[in-house]
Amino acid sequence: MAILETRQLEAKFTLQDSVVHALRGIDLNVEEGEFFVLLGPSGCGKTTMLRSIAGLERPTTGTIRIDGEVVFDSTSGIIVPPDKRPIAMVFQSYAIWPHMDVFENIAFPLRRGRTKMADTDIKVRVGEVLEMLGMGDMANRPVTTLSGGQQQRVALARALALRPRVLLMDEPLSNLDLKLQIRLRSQMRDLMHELGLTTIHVTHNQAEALETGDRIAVMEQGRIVQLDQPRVIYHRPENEFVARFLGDMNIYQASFDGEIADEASIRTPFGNFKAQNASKTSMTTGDNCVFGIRPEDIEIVDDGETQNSLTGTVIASDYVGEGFVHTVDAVGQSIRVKCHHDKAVNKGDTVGLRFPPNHTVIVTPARGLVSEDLEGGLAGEGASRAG
Amino acid sequence: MPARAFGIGWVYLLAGVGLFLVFISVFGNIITSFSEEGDVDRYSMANYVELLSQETLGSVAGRTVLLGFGTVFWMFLFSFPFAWLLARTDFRYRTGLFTLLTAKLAIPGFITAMSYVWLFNPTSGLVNQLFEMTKFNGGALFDVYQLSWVCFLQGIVLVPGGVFMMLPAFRNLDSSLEEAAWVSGVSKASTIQRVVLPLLAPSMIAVSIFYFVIGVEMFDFVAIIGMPGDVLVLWIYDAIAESDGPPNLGFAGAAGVLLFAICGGAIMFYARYLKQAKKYAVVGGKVRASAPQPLGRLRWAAYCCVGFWLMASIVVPVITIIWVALVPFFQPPSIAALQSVSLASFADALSWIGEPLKNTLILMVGSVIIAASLAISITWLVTRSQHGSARWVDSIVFLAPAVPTIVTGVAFQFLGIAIYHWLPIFGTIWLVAIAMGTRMLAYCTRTMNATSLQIQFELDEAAYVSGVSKLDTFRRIFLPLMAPAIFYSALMVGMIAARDLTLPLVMNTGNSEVVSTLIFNLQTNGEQNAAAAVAIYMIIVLVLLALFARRMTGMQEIRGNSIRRRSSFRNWVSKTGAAALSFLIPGRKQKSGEG
Repeated sequence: MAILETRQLEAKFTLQDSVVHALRGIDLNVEEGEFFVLLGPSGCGKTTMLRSIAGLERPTTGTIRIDGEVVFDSTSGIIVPPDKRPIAMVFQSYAIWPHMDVFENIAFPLRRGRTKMADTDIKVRVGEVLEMLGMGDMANRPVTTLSGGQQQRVALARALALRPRVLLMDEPLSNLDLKLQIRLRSQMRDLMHELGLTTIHVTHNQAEALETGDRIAVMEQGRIVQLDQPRVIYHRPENEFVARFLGDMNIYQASFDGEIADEASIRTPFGNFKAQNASKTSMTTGDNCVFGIRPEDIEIVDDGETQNSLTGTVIASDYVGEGFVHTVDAVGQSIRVKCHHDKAVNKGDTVGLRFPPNHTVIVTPARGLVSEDLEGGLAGEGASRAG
Repeated sequence: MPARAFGIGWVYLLAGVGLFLVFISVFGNIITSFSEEGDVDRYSMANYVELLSQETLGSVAGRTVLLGFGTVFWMFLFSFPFAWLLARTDFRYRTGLFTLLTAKLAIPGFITAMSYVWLFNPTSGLVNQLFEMTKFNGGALFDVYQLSWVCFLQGIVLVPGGVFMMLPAFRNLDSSLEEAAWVSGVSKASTIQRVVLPLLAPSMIAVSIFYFVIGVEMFDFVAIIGMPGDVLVLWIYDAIAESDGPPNLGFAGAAGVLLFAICGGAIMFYARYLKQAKKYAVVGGKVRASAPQPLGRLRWAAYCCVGFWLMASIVVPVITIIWVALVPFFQPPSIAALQSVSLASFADALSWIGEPLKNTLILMVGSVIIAASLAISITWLVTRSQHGSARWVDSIVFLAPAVPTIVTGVAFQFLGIAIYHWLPIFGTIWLVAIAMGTRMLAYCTRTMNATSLQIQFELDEAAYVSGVSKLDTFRRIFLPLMAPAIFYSALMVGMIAARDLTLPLVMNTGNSEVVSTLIFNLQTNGEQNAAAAVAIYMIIVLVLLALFARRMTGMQEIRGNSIRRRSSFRNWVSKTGAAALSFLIPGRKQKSGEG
């Protein structure tokens, strides 16, 4: 049985004069022990979703069930306040209480919260979580003297000490420096798996999502546009939005030319190609479609290769540390190709490229999506509340 | 436990009580104005008929407005340069000036007023007596009983509040905006004219309007000096303190409504400019503190300006009071007078002061408890509850300062009579404390709102999602985090309650003399010597309190920019305190209606 279920969750709120439609009919099942990621650009509704589960925000309609108990239902008017839900939450800002020391930050919810534990039990419990997070010697430190990473761990310890049925995390790593983020991602995921704790993790960071999630729900404009395992999301994006949002992808127009088994034929500007059909829409021969390939999946090949291949001219080469990103022009289309240092390709060279069929995917075109919006969204993501 | 079962309802209940009291101070006076001779059972338009039939109504209203403008003129003449000196220049004595401004807050306006009456009374004033002795002219040198003198004196005592209210605007002025103009080839003078002044204008206008209201409603100077010809506050007071009959609360109420209309109109303009000022502040984005600009030769002008204000507002009044306290009867300095100097009046004062001191302490503690507890509940409701009523509660509380102090006094006197059968607190210090607490409520709420908005909402939410109830979150998270703001608010309320003359005087019916009314009554009865001694005791206590308050906030007030420093707990405490103080000081200015 799913430990968290939502049915037809809708959230609308008025901001100044405009109505924001933050959630549009979200149906979700999160299984016990799962590390579940809600991923999307700012304003996609992911934070609203998380806060609705926590009870900090009230959806307009729909149902939320946690551990079998209805905590929100618009038709019967059930609204369980946050303090009565079997959850814990880690905030983006950590929300560490500055007037309490580390121990007290963790102990206070145990003493005053749902559980109302005895002092001796609290001592044991706090000691356990601090030990688990490698902070055993910091119990009496004032929290304002802690580094960002340490504060983050206190926030996590506070949540874990409650032993919630569902742990909610709102961009818990985004205020840390990049190196620390990367180190903590896997640690965090491993810890939750070890504890068997169901976790809902909200992030706008695709690398974080891919690395931590058992499953990822990609959200856009209040909808879940794809929900699957990280590998599938990355390699078989169902639509252009997901393809562009997770990593980089070259996207081109084509027309559909039939399908045998799982392999589709398409007419592209570069010739007739074979591709995987990840799009969920049914197509018939002659339909316009969109296909894409990731820069790192394109192979540089010798001339003479014919299947899924093309020839182009290198018009730019950008060094990006772990390799080069070459921009290749072919029949007026520009193609980004990522490759390792040792490939000797220079500006002005004519190169042969191959789009391996198992990495070339047909996706559903984005609904009037302007790619600038997407990038702006990525850059602008932060403490956004509208989430 | 029933207390627990009611939960956060307790906070809503307190906020409701606070709101009710604010309602009384805003609307109670209007009800009073319809009651015939202050009778709680008979209502008519009689008071308005009487008010409108006064032949002098036009001139009194005119003089009242003139008093407001005059006060703002003098206040602005000193406050603007002082704020500029503190915030933007390398003026050497910035710390000293700041200390003086803080200390000045501790000298009640009515004591300043008293000292000037002693100096410049046309017949008995010390200066005029000395001048007469010179046989140079024979007439009086100065006559303090002039509208222009009242404007000047009110103006100079309001300077500290004005400076503290202007400082944030000067500090928030992003120096890169000026630099952008300079590097674009605009001269320094044009930059000031075209960039700096227009950016400052909305805040300066807002401050001016605010002080117009205070100038109009301020009672200290009008009460002590009086004038040839009335102003509205004096009408109200005369109606209450009629020597030949019972207080005419009804007529006082009607005159109060007129005064309230003048102030209310001004406060609406004030809100408008305040909004505009905030809009400009937002445009500025991230503010970079400016390097202090060298004063150069202008420093001599600065010394003169500061020196004159210092003499007029602190040195002259304090020396006068000390002199009057030291000589056994009221006389100008002379060899004979010097020989009669004694400390006897200070010893005598101790025998006067017992009962009034007790009442003053009750008034202080009572109004602190009322103002702080109700204000924190209202702040929680407005800033953190997300309750539907938050917006209109905030508007009503914002409106409250438009009610002149003296009018609040009238409204609560009427309330006291109306509820006398159930709760006989009319004529006691407790009713004064309730009125005082309500009066302070609005200022405390503003201070606390500002502080509360700086405290992340997620700190509350983190408690809710950890299973902590709203009441426990209020008590264990919100209150401790608000503690500095509550502390400073309480300190300020205590100080104002200790020195306020208006409410105790208006509401005093014989049983509730406090130290300020003791001084007033001694002075009125010609016992200047005793009045001066008690006044000195009062000033000493208030100076100590003011310096203590300032010490607690550290120097943030002057530098301003350290607020953005990486926060440690200590920084956080003083930051919150500084925020509290910066809102409170103007607040306290307005409320007590005196300098």
